[in-house]
Amino acid sequence: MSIEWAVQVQGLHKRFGDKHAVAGVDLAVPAGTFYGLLGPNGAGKSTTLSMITGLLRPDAGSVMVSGMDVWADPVAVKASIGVVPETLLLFERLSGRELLDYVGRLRRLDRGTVTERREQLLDVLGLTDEADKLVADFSQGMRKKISLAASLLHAPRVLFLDEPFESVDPISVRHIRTVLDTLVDGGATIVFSSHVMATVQSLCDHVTILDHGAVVASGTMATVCGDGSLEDAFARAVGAENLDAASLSWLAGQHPVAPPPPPPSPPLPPSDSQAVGESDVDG
Amino acid sequence: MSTVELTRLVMGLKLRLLTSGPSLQAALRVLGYAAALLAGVGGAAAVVLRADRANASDELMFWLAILSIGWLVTPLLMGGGETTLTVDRFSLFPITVRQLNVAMVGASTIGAPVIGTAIVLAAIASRGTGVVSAAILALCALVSLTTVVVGSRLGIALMSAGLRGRKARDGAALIVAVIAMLAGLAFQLGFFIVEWLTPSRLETGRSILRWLPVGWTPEAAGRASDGQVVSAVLFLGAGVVWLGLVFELWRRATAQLFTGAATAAAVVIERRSRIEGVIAAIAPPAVEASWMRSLRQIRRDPRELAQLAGFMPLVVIMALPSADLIREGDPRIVLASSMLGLIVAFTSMNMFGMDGPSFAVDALASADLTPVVLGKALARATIGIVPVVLGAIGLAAYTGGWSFVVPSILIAVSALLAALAVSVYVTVRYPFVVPEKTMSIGMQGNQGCLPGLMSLIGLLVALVISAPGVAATTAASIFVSALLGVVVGVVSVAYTLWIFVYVVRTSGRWASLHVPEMVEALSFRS
Repeated sequence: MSIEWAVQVQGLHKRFGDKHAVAGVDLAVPAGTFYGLLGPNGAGKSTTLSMITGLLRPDAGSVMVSGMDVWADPVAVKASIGVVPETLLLFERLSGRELLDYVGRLRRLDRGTVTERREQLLDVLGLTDEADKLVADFSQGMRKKISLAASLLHAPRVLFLDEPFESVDPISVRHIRTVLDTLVDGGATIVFSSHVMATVQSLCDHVTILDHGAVVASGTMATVCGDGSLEDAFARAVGAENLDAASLSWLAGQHPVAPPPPPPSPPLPPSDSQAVGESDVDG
Repeated sequence: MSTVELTRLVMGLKLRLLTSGPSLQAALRVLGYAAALLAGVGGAAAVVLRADRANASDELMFWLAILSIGWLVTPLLMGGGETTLTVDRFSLFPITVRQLNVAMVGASTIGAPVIGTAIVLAAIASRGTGVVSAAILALCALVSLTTVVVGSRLGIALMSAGLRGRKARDGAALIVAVIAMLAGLAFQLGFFIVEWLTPSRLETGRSILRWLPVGWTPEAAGRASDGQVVSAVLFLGAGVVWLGLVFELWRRATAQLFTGAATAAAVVIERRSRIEGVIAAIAPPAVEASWMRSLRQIRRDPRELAQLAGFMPLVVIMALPSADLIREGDPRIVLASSMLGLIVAFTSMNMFGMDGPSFAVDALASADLTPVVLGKALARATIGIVPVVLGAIGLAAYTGGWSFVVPSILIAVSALLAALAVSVYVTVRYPFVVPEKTMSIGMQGNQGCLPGLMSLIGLLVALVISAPGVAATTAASIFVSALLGVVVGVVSVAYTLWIFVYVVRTSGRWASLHVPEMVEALSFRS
């Protein structure tokens, strides 16, 4: 049985001056999966995602999303994807509701559908009470959630999320995971980058680790992790297994803390046993 | 940490902020500071050279008061190092509010504007007629300098976080922007203003300013230079009280910011706009979305309002020649109302500029950017056409020239379509980002001076495209009949509508295929 690919990236390159931010990345994301993109800061994750989603033109390489070439047919590709970029650039002077209305109508959804989906998403993401505030007055977590809602309105076939759980409270994380699971169950594909290893390990079927703009490990979760945790596999892949803490020795022993005194014994009610004890001590 | 150590540290930080940064920004700053120094030296020379004039004390008082007012506003306009050194950046360090106040005043003395001001004030101090008056003048200079330094810090405190409510901050930003625009206009008309300031007008200005707090110390200086020692001391005392008040306001603002007591008030949007239903009925969904969003942006963003407000004086100046016709009640004056739409042409050459990097929302949500571009242009047209219609009806009611109402609206629509066609082209091909949080000239986009140049060329092209239709409609209305004006106007609108539709289609397609280039152009220079 042939695999249907949601995203296929071949030989992707991007330079910023002397820095080779993405140096020949190849990716193949199977449709209907939860795909994690990992890497240390500056590894090229966001640059790669920007190029896959058509916001940044690559110097070389090809990107296919749902079988369509992003750079040959960007209009068709954009209709089928949703994106939550790392830097949340939203229209600050719209309220949360107005922003979702705007995005929904821009995607040519009818007003009734937009209203219905908008209210459901606001409810699930816990934003209903704040939705009439200007986006400019939103906290970072709320901005992340409203951005996610905007990317979900049209039920995309492929959803790209750059650090979706950053600054989001644990309850909302649980709700977002439920929403994302529902989307994947419906046949959609989710590609997301994150630094939270536990979340990636629990959510993703496949994972790719980038370092210095190149793929250093890729495959199913079981292949990449082996017997250990994803965190160990990640550290191994980027060559950061052991931290030399010797140079930070000045941090150790600066504030010696005396051992806490033993807790005072609670006063015991007069009883036969107490009487016996006191008698023992005295003796 | 001692107060002296902290002051030294903050002064060093200010110096570093002024001398570091991208080369273009640093170069602009050097130019600004050189200009401030030159202005200081020039001001000092003027004070000394004009000392023998009969109304010299009026001049001295008047310009000293202007200097004080300018100082209160300048930090808000200039941004840069001053606005970076905000109180909340120090709130996590183990220092007291008093220490911070001293350090901040110390930091305020770093920079050419203060040195320039000090030079002017030293020149003023030299204007004493005797030892006592010279001493009072020196005190006036000291009080003036301290007031402007503390006043500027108060302005920065209010702007950085004191005005945490968005409406208040946006309102303040609008006021500052309009002052900046008017100041720019006044600067360009400086020669006429100096000519206009006759001795009697200077005297009148002084008589008003002396009753305002900012005029008290300057008035003391004016009187001391005339040898009126007693009244000079009284005004100087009042000036010191004003300085104390400014200092106390600043101290309280600093304490509030330092302790995090200043609170933010969120703006809540509850009502749905009435015009939304109308637009929804006539426009396809994507166009409606962009149209409504752009209208909201124009209404809520002080930068948009400042642009519109800033060009109002220009429109008024252009309309001034028509004043005689209005006075005479000539019905042809109704046609002049079409000029009110011009303001849109001035402010439409960079329609994505206020969105800046948020343009990515459009780029990600809309597969085809044509409706986004069209919606933006229609929002501008809405803003432009409303004052034209109101103006035409108002003038027609005043002069009885009802037959000219339709021709004037047709002239405006024709000119607007031509201007917006050019605007759409320039907006898509040469967008540049407009900073959100500061009016500083140092923060710019990625395309250098090219977008500004293209905007200017765009205005000229719009003028050339619209001129035949506007001229023909106006001539037909005035010299033949209003009915012929309507016929010619319809043809003129059809001609510019064709251009508008063509440009919107081609530009929308171009934008859809060049998203990365537009995202790059609308990002801040790194």
